Order: sequence, then C-alpha cells, then structure tokens
Amino acid sequence: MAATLQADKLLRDLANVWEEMGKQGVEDKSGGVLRACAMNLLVCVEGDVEVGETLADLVHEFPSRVIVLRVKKTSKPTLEGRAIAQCWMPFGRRQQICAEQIELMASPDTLRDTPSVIRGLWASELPIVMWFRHAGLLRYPEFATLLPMAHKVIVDSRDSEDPERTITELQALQQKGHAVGDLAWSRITRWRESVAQMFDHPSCAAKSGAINAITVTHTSLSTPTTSRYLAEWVASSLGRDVAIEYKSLSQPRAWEIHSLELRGDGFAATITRKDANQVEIRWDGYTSALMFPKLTPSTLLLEEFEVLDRDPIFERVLARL
Amino acid sequence: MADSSSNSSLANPFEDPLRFQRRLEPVALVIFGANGDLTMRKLLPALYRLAYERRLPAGFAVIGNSRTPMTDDAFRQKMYESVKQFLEDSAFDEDLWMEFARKLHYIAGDLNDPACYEAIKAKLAEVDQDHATGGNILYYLSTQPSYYAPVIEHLGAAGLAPKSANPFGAGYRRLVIEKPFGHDLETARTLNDVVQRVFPEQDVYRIDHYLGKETVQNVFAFRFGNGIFEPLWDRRYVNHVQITAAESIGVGGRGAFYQETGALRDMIQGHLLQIMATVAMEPSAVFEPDAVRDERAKLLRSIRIMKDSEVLANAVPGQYGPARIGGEEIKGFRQEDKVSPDAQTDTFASATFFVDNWRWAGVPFYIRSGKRLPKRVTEIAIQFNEAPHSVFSGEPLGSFGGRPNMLILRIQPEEGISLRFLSKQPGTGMRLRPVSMDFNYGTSFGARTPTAYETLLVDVMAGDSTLYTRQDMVEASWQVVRPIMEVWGNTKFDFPNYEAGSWGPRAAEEMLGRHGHQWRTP
Repeated sequence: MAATLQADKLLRDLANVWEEMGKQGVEDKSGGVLRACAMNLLVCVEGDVEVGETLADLVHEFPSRVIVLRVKKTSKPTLEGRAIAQCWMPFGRRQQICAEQIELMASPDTLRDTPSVIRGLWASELPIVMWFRHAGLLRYPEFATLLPMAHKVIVDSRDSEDPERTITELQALQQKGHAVGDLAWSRITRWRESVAQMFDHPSCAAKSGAINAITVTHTSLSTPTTSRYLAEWVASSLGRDVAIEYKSLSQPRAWEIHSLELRGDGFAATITRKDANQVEIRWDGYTSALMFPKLTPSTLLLEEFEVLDRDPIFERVLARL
Repeated sequence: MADSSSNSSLANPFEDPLRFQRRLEPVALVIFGANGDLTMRKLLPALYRLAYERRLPAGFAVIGNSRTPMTDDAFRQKMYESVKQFLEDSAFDEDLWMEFARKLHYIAGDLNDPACYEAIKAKLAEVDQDHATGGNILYYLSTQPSYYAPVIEHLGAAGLAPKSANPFGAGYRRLVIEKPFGHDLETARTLNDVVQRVFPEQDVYRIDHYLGKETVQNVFAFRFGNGIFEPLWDRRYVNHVQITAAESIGVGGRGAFYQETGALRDMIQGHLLQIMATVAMEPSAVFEPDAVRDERAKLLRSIRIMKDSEVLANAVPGQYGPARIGGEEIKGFRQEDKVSPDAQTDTFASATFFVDNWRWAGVPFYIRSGKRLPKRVTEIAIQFNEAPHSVFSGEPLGSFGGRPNMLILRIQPEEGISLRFLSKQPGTGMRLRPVSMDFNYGTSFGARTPTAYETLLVDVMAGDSTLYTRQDMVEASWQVVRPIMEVWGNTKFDFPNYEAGSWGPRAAEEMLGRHGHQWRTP
C-alpha cells in the first residue's frame, strides 16, 4: 500500500500538542506556554544530517512554524510526518515560549507527494523561507511548484558538493525573480563591514579612487566561494575594473579567508585574521583591531532572515561570478 | 566659524544598508564626570556593548575627565570593573575589552580651571592622531548639573566648541546634556542662554533616556506604521489615558539629592510629559528629527496650564511612610539617610492634564510616578469608550465599568503591547469575559533589545536628534508643572500619606474618582 500523509492530520496533531501543553500548564500551575510564530521556515535536508541544534537557536530568536523535510533513501516508499514543539524558558520568566515544528520524512520516490502536503501546512499570512541545507535538493523538480511561494530561498554554496553548479542555479533563480540568499555571502558580512568602516574615515575614503588591485588570501587549496564573493564585491563597489588575485595560504585554519589586501597608488590597506576571533586592520599607518564573532549556521541564517526582500548588492555580486 | 556639521562629504562606496549597522563617523568622546555613577553604570557599559556589536566607528576614543588624579591605566581598570559589573544582558569578552580599553584615556582636572581644558585639547590632538577620530568631538556632560554652565563656557573659551576657531580642522562638535535641564523654568532658560552662546541648537543633545527605550520608540511604529489604530486615537474613541512610572525602591543613598527634586520634577517634568507628548502628538510629515520634535513640542504647548486654584484638585503629591514589606522593615522617606525629618518632598506625584486641541479636547491624561510602590513598572494605558449600545444587556462586565477595551503599551519591564477586549465565554448562553491579546517584544523578537543609552549614543554619533529633547520642549514642560510646583511649595502637606509598598495616597484615587475613573493596577 502506498504511503500517504495528510496536512489536516498533521495540523490536528499540532493542535493536540498545544492542547496537551496547555493542560500541563494548568496542572503544574506553571502558567502554561506561549505559542509564538513569526514566519514559516521549510528546511530541506538529506539523510540523517542533524539540524536540531540550529533550529533550536533559530526559533529562539525568530519563532517560526518550522517544517523539516528529510529526504532519505529507504528500502520501501516512505512518507511520514509528526508534529512537535520547540520550547525554551526565557531568563527570569515562568512561562515557556514554544514554536511549532512539523517533521516530514520522504524517500526519493515519495518526494513528489510532499509539495501538496507542505502547501497545507503553512501558517497563513506569514512569510515563507526555504532553506536547502543540501543545495543539491534544489535540483529536484518536485520543489518547482513550491519555490514560487517562497519569500526567500537560502542555500550554502560553500557546503555544496559542486559550488559552481550551485552558483549557476542561484543565478537562474534570481533571474526568475526569486529572492535568494547564500550563507557563503553572509559569512563575509563582517569582512565587508570592516572594509566599509575603514572607508568611513574621510582620508581613507578620499583614496578609494586609487585602488587598482585586490588580493584575497584563503586557507584552503582551492578558491572558496567566500573569497570570490569578497573580491567581486570590492570590485563592484568601486564600479570599475581592478586586478583580482586569489592566494592560497595552504595551511588549514579555523577560518576560511585569511586576509584582504587593497592596493593602489599611494594607498595600501589590509585586513588580516589574527586568530579565530579577531582581525587587524591596517591602513596609512593606523592599526586597529576588530572582533569577528564566531559564526554558526543559525547566526548566518538569522542574518538572511533579516533581509527577506531581494538584496540588490548580493544580486549584483552574484551576477559577476 | 568651524563647520559644525558632518565632515563626511564623500559617499562610502562600500555601504550596504541592508546588512550593515548604521555607519558612524569617527569621533572622540569626552566625558565630563567620568568617575561618576552614570559613566560607570550606564555610559561605559553601553559603549562596550556597542563595541561588542561592532557598532562603534573604527576611529574612536574616549577621554574621561574628573577631578580624581588617575593614569590612563587606572581609569581603564576602574572602567573594566564597572563594565563587568553593570553590563546588562550581555556577555563580557576579555579580548574585546583589551582592544576597547586601548581607546580609553583620562585627564584629571578641575572643571573651573582653564588648564583642564588645555590638557583636554592636547589630548584630543593626540587621540586624533593615534585613533584617527577624524576631528569629530562629542562632549558628554555627566557631571553635577551645577557644572554644566562652567564647562560649556570653558569649552568655548578654550576654542573647543563649534563657535570657536577649530584647531582640528573640519569636524563636528556636539554636546550631550543629561537632565535635569534646570531646576525650574527660569534656571532652564539661564542654562540654555549659556549653551546657545557656545553651541548652536542643532549640536545640542538633551538626553532623556526614557525616549531611548525601545518601547517608547515603538509608539511611533505602532501609531504611524499601522492604519487601524490612528483613526481611533482621539476624543471620540479614547475615554482617558493613564501613564504610570512606578519604582519599588526608595531613594537609597540619594536622599539629599532627591529631597531637593521630588517626583514631579524628576519624573513627570523630566520624562513622563515627553512620553505623553509621544502618545498624543500629531503625526509628522516625515520621520526626521525636527519634524518629529516640532509635533512633540506642539503637543507640550497644548497641555492646559493649571490655574493655582485648580492645582490641589488636579495634582496630588505623596510621600511614603514606613512599612513592613515581605518581612522587611522599610524606612519612610523621612527616615532615609540625609533626609530632613520634616521634609515636604513628593516621592509620589500624580496629575490630571488636558490637551487643548481638537483631537484631545476633554480627554483626561492621568500621570503618576512614585517611589516605594508595589513594583517597578512603566506603562501607558489607553482606555477606550464603551460600545455606543450594548446588545448584551444584563451581562455583568465586572470591574470594567462597561469599558472593556484598553490598550496597554508596556515600557518596562516585559516590554510589549496588550489589547483587552471581551470574548464569549465557552458554554451555553452568552457570557462575556475579558481577554487579552498580547504582543511581547521578548518573544516576537528574540534578539536582545539595546539599552536606552546604546540607542541614544548611536543616535548622537549619527547626528540624529529625534529622540533627544529640544529647548522649547524643555521650557514647555517646565511651564506645565510650574503652577503645581508653586502651589505645592506653598502648601504644608500631611506627609507621609502613603505606606511604602502601596499604590500611593488615597487622594490620588479620589482625583480620578471625581472623573468617574480609577487607576488601573499594572
């Protein structure tokens, strides 16, 4: 018998979850739970990859109805679902806050049945974000009917098995009018912000016209997407052709980009990683240090959630790759 | 004359307003009163937090000043301890501190001595070189108010103000003044005369930290960002408004200061009239500093000034007496340290105000603030009128007097908005029950809310005065409380008139009772 799953059934399960938690709150006089939801988040993952910790962090900051679609090869056609709640107790309060999560598991041969279920599961009137934890899933034609519903589609080209192909797919989505995000781009926000901060200084800003060469040094053997994004962003911000060079430090480090160097007539500026938490900025004899906080999948995703509309600067850079 | 405006005429090609925090120009911040409570409890923790969030400009330095001799390192150590102690809702990072501390400098000196300002000038030149502060200077008056005028005059005389020849080339000179802005209308005007001789009004930032609170700013978003509330925001639908700012603590070690101030000056004139103006003002055409402040000032000028004969019926003072709270013996105000045993200070003040304009004619605005009340809470409650005709006649509406609809804007703690309305109670028959629809900042936006000082420091560095008070607003609010101050000053009250831990004197309840209203219990 074919595996079936109904959105209504999952929504009833979800209602039961809340009812049970409400009753529990009355019994133990804890004040019950507060149901919070500000967004729909569809997370598409492959196999047994764990995303629980990331989702727990995310819903804490951005309470959402999370739908986790796990695509997993199984011996027979599988299509299952269950509803749970992600709860946390804010500091100093007696009432738990809970966000809802629906987990779907599909085998590749039942994947075609999932869009119709997912369409019935969205919390109405709230934005829909789709995070393809495995960029390869974006290629499944089954998602083609869901993508137009998304306010934003997020991938991580850095973790992709084929970053070039993922970039091409992102470009195609962007050309179709989708708002797209790449966590590789969010990873370089602190680098970009440091560059912008340097050029806030009038004497530095006055020399931006002199920049004619950019060097990005990375720690891996091959050039990562992050390095390419950073170099192309600098070039596109300057609005003219500049020489771009990628160098490999060929030494494994806890970070991906090691340094950014901007050069020109009478001008040199560098931003260099000192350690996992700090960079040093040098230009025209000035030296300062900046903290670079540790990035996690949840911090990167939160940044993307903050920009739910199309991001013209990212799109401009993506188009140059 | 030096250019007092921003010196950033070159657009930054690397700007990304969608992703980056608001960019700030480099600046040197000079804090007068750097050894004081405000600096240690609020300013430095706020600056450190801004550094933590990479919101400070790359070119940044602090020059602290006070009379106490200290080296830069001793000042850094002192600030290290206070930041660690008073940092709110935030982690402390030792590595970040090392970098932040490099930007802290100290100059000891007597504020009445011109040599102090020469030393500050030399230090400013030094930090401009070492930290690339771009010639911008922000002066922060965190001293006792009696020093405000001398400091400003000395800054002018030393050539450190906008109206002086600028030794550092282009760059802004801004002045932040902490409240109180005078002790009454006359002293406020006198202080302003001194300020205006040295700093143009656009460079003066009078700080009212209440206006920097996220939820007060949210009043703008709530009123003017939504289409459904503003049509109800007038005398046709609003029955009355209650603004409460309650503190559970007493005066602590500030007895001597508080004895000369009182709740009317400290809270109602200083903060709550500004909040009332934010709630009741007309929408500005644009959300720009002077447009918003013009509307707020207009509202303040529209508040009806009480006649002397009206004061005692419309403004009630209180003073807390001793009580036992939770097993602890609490002193009355007159038993507090450095307080006179027959002090006539108002530790509680409440008043009924009316706004003489078309929107608010006849709608009472009740304001109360006090110390040693049952809990710490600040909120604005907007009571809407009852339905014009009740189809549920005979249904008891409990203590709501037939007016079930109330909108509560919670400023602190648990910042948020609640709307109370009636709902059918499940079961047979039509029984009505009040329910509340709640929006809570903490749950809808999990991100940490910046403290008021973080917000206001960023604003002044960005040259945004929207949340700062202007001189005409200060004068208008002093005008409003002046008759109350005068009548209360000439009346001997039978204090104490409320027990510590209660919601204030009975007379404050009676004041609302005369209008058929009652204070809500927050």
